[in-house]
Amino acid sequence: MTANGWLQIFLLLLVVLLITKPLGGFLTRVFSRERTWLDPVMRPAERILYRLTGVDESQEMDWKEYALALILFSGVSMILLYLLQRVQQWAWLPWNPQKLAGVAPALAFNTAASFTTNTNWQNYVPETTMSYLTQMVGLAYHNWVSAAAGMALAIAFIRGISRREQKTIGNFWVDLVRGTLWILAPLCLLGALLLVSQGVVQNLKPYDTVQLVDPYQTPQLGSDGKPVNGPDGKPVMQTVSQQTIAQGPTASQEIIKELGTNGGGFFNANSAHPFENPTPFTNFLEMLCILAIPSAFTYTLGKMTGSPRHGWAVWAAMALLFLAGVTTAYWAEARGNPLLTSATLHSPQHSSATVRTTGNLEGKEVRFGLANSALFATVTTDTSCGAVNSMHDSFTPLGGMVPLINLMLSEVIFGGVGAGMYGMLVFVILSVFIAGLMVGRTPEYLGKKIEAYDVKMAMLVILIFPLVILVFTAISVLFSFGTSSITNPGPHGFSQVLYAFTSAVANNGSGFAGINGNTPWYNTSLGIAMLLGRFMMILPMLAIAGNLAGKKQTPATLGTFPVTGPLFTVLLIGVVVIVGALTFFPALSLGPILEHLLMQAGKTF
Amino acid sequence: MLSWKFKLGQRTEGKVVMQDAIFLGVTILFFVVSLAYLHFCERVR
Repeated sequence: MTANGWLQIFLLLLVVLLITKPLGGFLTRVFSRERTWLDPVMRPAERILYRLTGVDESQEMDWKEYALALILFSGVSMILLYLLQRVQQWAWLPWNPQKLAGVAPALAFNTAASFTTNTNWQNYVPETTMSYLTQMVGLAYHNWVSAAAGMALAIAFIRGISRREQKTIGNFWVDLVRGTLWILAPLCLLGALLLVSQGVVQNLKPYDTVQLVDPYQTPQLGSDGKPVNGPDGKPVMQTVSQQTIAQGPTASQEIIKELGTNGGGFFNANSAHPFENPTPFTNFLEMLCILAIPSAFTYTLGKMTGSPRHGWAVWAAMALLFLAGVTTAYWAEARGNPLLTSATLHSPQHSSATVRTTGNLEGKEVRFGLANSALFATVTTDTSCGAVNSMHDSFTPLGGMVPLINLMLSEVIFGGVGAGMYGMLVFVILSVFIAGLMVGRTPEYLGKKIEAYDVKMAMLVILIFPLVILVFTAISVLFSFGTSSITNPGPHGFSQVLYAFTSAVANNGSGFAGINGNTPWYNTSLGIAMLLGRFMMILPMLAIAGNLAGKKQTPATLGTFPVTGPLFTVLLIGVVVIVGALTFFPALSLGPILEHLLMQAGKTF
Repeated sequence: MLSWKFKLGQRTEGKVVMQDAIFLGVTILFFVVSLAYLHFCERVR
């Protein structure tokens, strides 16, 4: 670990802290329908959209209508994305200069579920599978609206807390449109231009072909993917002298990939690709964009509920959990693999000093190094982003366990755009309930009594998450259709499967890159897991919001548990960690913990 | 359903149409189940 590495980590957290209040205040004004400086441009566009779609912006919805609007919107959008992928090769459709074929049905289903749920799990190589049309009209559309839907849901939940004796929690269509026009559009425009200025490509050109400076020889592969042998029994070699350089409208998708905590890369290497993430500045900007809106929502929570200190208490809990994660990941990666260290100590090319300072660089982009790889991995899994600038599969067992644990904590450490806030609020309700039990009085949260129905719904949210992950993981490691995709034996292979389903249900989308997900089983099961992880958790959460909105305000007394100070922050962290640890500790023991112990005993996988 | 533009053999074409029907069916079924789940969340009170 280096001082430079720590400086960059704390600089990111500091900038996130600095933008939380102004951006959170802007979010509050936008969703409260107060006047903003963007109104002269956006308000006419908003009115036109409502006129075209027949939305009455003055009509509010109760939680069931709000949920119904979300379900219908998501269902129709998902079917349209499926169909677009299936027909992208039609000759009259534009922007397919590489003449890419239609996407196979199972993969199209997986991708449609993935982008509809803001997961962006990718079982395909984008540059050889998706036309520019599919990328721009299908995938990028979902990047925008799934993020806007997440913001709408978080705002609906906050309204549920702040309103008194009301039946409604807002209008889904209005929240969706305002989130898109006022928040995402201007930030994406600015961010995309910044990315282009740094070298991120933005074009509709066919792919470039370049001559290699140093041609190389490689075995010729047959149609079965295996090397072809000549009459002498030796592999037939071919000389590679050209390279294809993929192009495309990357910058416009790169920025929403981060701002919307989507994470689906335009290229297969995601943010490790120089056309997606070319400079240290873009790397910093991308991490900042991932954290910006989720962090701002804590201020919005405080502002809209009339308790700014509560918002900051939640922010503090998130920041402390974030620091714990990045510290562990950075320490584990800087420490490296002790077996590799001891092996290279005997190598004449490496001095012991070099080995000690190198750490674990396998699977990492050397342009970013250890600190920024550990930091990016923590940022992307604390939130529901899933973009990667290094391969989590190549992290040390403990370093790789950090992203996994972040996902298992339901991504409430800042979390996804909106999704992190409503996920954390469910933990807040549980924390207040536990505090109430400890002192023997009815729990209250910001003047609302937390009753049986609220806790039932909160527990439904919390229990569905591990249930889906563990059941699908268990099936996958028991049968050959699941184990055949694993590329490493032993506990590391188990971690690959566990990570895949945790990432899918948490709607993250990052992967332990080793597993081959493009099989009928994984395309289907991961697709269903993503849908369950999104909608089966959102609906009870909205039920809590609707129930809270209808409650009376109870004045705070001396016995009311305060949700504004360090005690609350510590309790909230405890509940988040204990619920996550209790649920997943056995699975972690079979995966990264066992792998770490075996590595210490001299065995790697 | 979508097969008319796919230049595939007859057997492959049939499989593709069947798979499309299955995956579209699963998608629609999921969202119908979501509606039932919404009803459950309301009634569990």
